[in-house]
Amino acid sequence: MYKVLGIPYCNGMSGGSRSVPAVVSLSAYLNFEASRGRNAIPARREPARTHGSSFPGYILTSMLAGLATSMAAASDGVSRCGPSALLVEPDTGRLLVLCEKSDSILRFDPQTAQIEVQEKIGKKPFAACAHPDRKRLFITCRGGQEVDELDAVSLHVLRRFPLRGDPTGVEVSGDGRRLFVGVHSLDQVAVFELETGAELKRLAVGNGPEMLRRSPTDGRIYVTNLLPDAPRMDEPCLNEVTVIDESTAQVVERVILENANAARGIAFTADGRMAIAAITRPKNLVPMVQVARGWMITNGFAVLFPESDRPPLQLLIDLPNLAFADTYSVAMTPDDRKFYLTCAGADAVVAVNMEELRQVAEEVLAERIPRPADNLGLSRRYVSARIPVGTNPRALAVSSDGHWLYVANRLDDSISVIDTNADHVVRTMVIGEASPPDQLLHGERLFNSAARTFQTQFSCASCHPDEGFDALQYDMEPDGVGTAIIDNRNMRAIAGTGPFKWTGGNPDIATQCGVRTAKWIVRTGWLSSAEVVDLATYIESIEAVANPYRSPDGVLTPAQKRGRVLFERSTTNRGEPIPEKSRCNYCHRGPKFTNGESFDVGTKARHDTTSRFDTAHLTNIFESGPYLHDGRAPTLEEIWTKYNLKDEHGISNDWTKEQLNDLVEYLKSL
Amino acid sequence: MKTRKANLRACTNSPLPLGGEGWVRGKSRGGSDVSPVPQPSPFKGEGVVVHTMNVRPKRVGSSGISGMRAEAFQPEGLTDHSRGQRPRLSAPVNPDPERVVPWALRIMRPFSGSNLYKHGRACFARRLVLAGGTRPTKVRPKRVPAILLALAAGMLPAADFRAEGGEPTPESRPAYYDHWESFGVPDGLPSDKVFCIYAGEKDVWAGTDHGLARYSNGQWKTYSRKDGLAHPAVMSIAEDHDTGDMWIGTMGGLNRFSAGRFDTFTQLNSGLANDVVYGVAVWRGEVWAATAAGTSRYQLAADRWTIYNETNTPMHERWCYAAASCAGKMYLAVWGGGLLEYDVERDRWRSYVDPDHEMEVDVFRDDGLVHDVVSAVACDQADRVWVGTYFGLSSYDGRKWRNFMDHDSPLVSNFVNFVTTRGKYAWIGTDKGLNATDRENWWTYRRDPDTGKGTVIWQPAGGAAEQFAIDTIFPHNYVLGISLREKDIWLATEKGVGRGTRSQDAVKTVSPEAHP
Repeated sequence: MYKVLGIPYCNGMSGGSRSVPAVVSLSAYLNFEASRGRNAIPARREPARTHGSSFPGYILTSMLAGLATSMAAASDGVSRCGPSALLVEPDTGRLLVLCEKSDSILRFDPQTAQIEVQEKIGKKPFAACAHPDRKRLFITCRGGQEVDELDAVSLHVLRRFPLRGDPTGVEVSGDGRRLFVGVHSLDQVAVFELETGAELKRLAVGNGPEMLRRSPTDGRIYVTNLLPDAPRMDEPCLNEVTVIDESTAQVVERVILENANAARGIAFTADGRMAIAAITRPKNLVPMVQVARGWMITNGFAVLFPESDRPPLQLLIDLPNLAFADTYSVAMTPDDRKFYLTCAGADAVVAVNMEELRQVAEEVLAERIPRPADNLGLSRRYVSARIPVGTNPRALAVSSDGHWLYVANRLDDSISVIDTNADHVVRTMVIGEASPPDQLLHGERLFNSAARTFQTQFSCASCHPDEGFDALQYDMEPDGVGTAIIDNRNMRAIAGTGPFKWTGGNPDIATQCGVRTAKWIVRTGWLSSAEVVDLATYIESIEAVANPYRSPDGVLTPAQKRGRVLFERSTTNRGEPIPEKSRCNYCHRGPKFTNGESFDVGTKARHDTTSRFDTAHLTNIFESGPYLHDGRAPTLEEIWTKYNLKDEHGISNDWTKEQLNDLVEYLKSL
Repeated sequence: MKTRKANLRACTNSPLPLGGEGWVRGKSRGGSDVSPVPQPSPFKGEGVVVHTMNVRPKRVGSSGISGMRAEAFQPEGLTDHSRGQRPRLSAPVNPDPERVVPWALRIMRPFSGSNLYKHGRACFARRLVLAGGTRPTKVRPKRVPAILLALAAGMLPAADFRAEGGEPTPESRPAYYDHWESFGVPDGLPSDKVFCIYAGEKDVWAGTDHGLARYSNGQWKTYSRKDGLAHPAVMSIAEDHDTGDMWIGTMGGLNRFSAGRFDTFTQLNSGLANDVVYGVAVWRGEVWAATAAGTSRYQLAADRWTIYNETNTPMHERWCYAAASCAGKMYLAVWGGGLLEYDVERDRWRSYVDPDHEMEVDVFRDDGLVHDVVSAVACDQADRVWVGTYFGLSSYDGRKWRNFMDHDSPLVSNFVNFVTTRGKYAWIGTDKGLNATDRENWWTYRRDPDTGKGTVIWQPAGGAAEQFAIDTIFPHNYVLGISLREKDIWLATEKGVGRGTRSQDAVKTVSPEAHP
C-alpha cells in the first residue's frame, strides 16, 4: 500500500478503502519512490570539470573515465550476475538463478541467502525450463547460440543443442519427448527430439518469439512474440500469441492482440482456462505531443481464454497519472488467487486479484465496460498491490506452497522475497558480492528505468526492448505534427554509426539522448550531464546479436559473394559506368557501411520536411525491418522493387531478379 | 533428286487410309499434314461397343539399326462386351523391306537439325503408318543395352501383360468410384472454374479463379484478397506435412496459410522468382515453387531463396509448371522444356526432353519423354516418375521410359493437365476425362455431357475390359486437379469440384495395393 496525499490507495488484502484519489500528482510519484528506499536510482553528482570548458570534450573525458572505471572493476574480479530467470526447485525450495552477465547458473538458498552451487553455462542465458522428470533443465543461451541441457542436481552441462538465430524461450512437451525453442531472429520455433537430439522442424510463429509456456491442461504450448506481425506504417500494430499443439508440433492457432506489442511472460491458471500475458499498448499512430495519461504507451496484460471462443481481453495496470512501465514476467499463485506481474521499468511488482479480474472480464463480455483496454481507471478494481522491489525486476517465481514470491532484480543482483499474503517485501537478498555500480551498469539502469519519464510512462527499453527496437513508426513533435513519420531504430551495435536521427541532426548519442530526449520524449528534467554520459556510454557498448545469415567462420556463400560484387560494382549490366555517388559502396562504406552523410535517395514522402536522410548503417540490417526512414519497406527487396523506380537509391533497375536476391543475401550477412 | 523430292512431298501430303480397327500412332494435334487422320478412339465413349487394346502390342522379332527391320504390330486382345466374344488375333503383317531405316536418313543424322532431315524422319514414320498399321519399333542405335532389352521384350510371351491368374474376375477387380458428388458456386465455392484441389487430413482445399475455398465439416469457406490471399486465381496447393501449413500458388504470388494467417511472398517482397506460381511442392523443409520465370526454392529454416532457371540448370525454357519430389530428387515440369531432375544432395541437374525433337510425331516408341510440353509430374510408391504432357503420358522408372497415348492405350486424351499418384497407380486428369493406371491396368472415368451420367471402364492387362454405367459422376470431363484421401477422390474440374466415393458392396476386392 502506498499513500497519496495521506489517503490510502489500494485494495490490499485487508479489504481497504476503494476511494479514488482526487488527484494523483507528482507527490504520488514521490511517495512511491520514497517507499522504495534504497532501490531508487540515486542522483548522480556532476564530477568536477578538469579538462577545458567544451561540452563535447567534457563528455568525451567523462566517457573515457567511465570506461576506465569499468575496466578497472572488471580487472578486480567483480562479476555481476544479472539474474534473468528464476526457477523454484519444488522439492527443496531452492532457487535456480540464471545469470546473464556471468554466463552461469546458481543454486541459491533463500533461507540462508547463500549460493550453494554455481556452474558455467553458455553465454547470456535467457530462459529456463525443467523436464517433466525433474532430472534435467534446459537453458537457452542467446549469446552462445545454443540450448544447454543440464543435470538438475549437479547443474553440469549434459548436452548442447546448437541453435543459431537468437534462442529465447524454451519449453518441454508434457510427455518429455520434445523440446520447443523460440528462435527470435528468424521468427521460428525449433522443435527437437530429445532422445536423439535431432532437430525435427521449424514452425513459423510471430515476429520475434520471446517466451514459451505449456498450458497445464490442453496439450498446447503458447508462444509470446515481442514485435508486431507484419508491421506497416500507418496501421495499428497486431501482436500475435502463437499456439502450438505439442503432440503434433504444429501451429494450431494464432491469437491476435490488436494495438498491443512487446508480449513477454505468460502464465496459466491451474485449470488452464485463462492465460495471462504481459504486454504494452503503444500509441505510435498518434503524434507524440505529450506523455500524460498514457498518451504514448500504456502497460498491462492480455487475458486469453484457451478452449473457448472468447476473444482475448486486454487490461491495464497503469493509473491515470502513473504508469508501471515495461511489463515482463507473469507468475500465478498455485491456488489461482492472484497473479504477479513484474514492471521492469518501474522497479515494481503488481499483484492482480483473480476474482476481481474475472468479474471485470464478465462485465466486459456483457459490454458493460466500454473500451477496457484504454481505461486507465479500471486497474483499481483488480490490482490489489503495487510493490516496490529492486532495480529492473524481470523474472519471478512463486514457491510451491504459494507463500513466497521471488523477484529477480536484474540490475542490482538481488532477489526480493514477497509475502503473497501481505504483498510486501519481507527480505531482499543480494546475490554474490555487492559492489557499487560502474558507469556501464549505471547507464544500463538509466536505459531500463522509467523513473525519469513524466508519470513514469516508459523507459528507453520500452521502445527499444532488449536494446533493439519495437518495429513501429512514430510521429515526433519536433518537426511538426503530422510530418516526418520515422521508423524506430535498432540500438544494438550503433557505436561509430553517427550522426544520429534520420536527418542526421544529432552528432552523437549523448546529444541524441540528452536535452532532445528530455524535451521531446520524456518531458521531464531527465538526466544530469554525467548521467547522459553514462547512458551514452552504455548505449555505445551494446553489442549486436549473432547473425544467423553469416557463417560462423565468416565465409560468404556463393550467393553472398555475388551479392558483394553487385554491391561494389562500378558498371551496369550493360557495361555503362555508374557515377561514383550512385554506387552502393559510396554512401554505405566503412566498417559500419555508412559514410555518415545525408543524401536524397528519392524517398521523400508527402509528410517529410526534408528529402535528405542520414545514410543508415547496414550492419545487422537483417533484424531491423521495416526499412527506409519511415518504415515503408517491410522487406529489403522492396527498397528497390517498389521504392527505387528512378534509380535514385543506387542504380538498380537493370538488375535481374537473381541479382537482387544475391544482393539481399549479402546484405543480410552484414 | 526429283523423285526423292516428289516422294517426300507425297508422303507428307497423302492422307491415311481409314476404316477398320487399325490404329495409327501420331501426336494428335489436329490440322497437321503429318498427323494421321484421327481414328475413332475406342475410349471416346461412343456407342455401346467397347473396344480395347493392349497397352503394349506383341512384337515379332526385334529391331535395331544395322540390318534390322522395323516390325509390324497388330493390336490384340480386342474385347467386345456387346458381343461377348473376343476376335481372333490377327496375323502379323509381312515386314516391308522399305521399312528398313533408310540409309539416307542414317547418314544424315549429323544434320538432324536440318529441315531435310526432319522431313525425312517424318516421311519415314508416315510410310510405316501407311503400310497398314505398322509402327516403328524402338530404335536406339547408340544404346546397345536398349536394343538387347528390346530383343528380350520381343521374346517375352504375351502372358507378360496379363493379370496374374489369367482372366480378371469380378472378385479380383478392384473397387471403383461409383458415387459422385459435385460442388459449385451454389454450394459455396467462389467459382466453378477450379484449377487445383488438395484433400488434407481434415479439410479439402480448392483453388479457383476467384479465390481459395476450404471444405470443412460439410461447409465451404472462401478466402480472398481481403483475407490475405495473394491473388484470386489459385493455381496450386501443397501441404507441409511437418508443420501443417498450406502453401498456395497463385497468379499473384505465393501464400503460406498457417493456422489462419496468410503470409504473402511475391517477386517484389521476397526472393520468389515470379508471381505467377503454377506449381508448388513441399519437401524436406523446403518449398519449391514452379513459376513462369523459373523455379524458386525456399529453405524455410535458413530463410534462404534460390532461383533455378536457364542460368544455372539445363533448362532452356523458364516456364515451369510443376514440381514433385521422387526418390531423393526434385523433378520440375517445364512447359516446352521437358523434365528436369535435380539431385539435391549431389547438386546435379539432368534434363529429359523428347528425343525425337518432333512436336508433331512420336517417331520412336518409349525412347524417352513423350513430349517437351510438360504440364505435370508426380511420383508413385515404386519411385516411378509420371509425367503429363499435352501430347501424352510418360512414366520413368529411373532407367526406362514408357509412354502412353490415346491411340495406343486406354488414355482418354493426350492432353494431360494433371497427374498424381497413390500406391503404384497414377491418376491422370485430361481434357476428356480421368484415368488411373499402374502401366498395365487401366481405369477410365468419363462423363456423358448429355445425360450427366458416368461411364467407368476397367481394362486389366491382357484381359477383357469391363464397363460400368453409374448414375452420378464428376461435373466435367476437363479435369485440372486430383487429390486422393483415404477412400475418397476429389477432382478439380472446369465446372466445379467432384468428390468420388466407393460403395464397395457388390465386389470383393483384392489386396489394398490393387486399389488405385
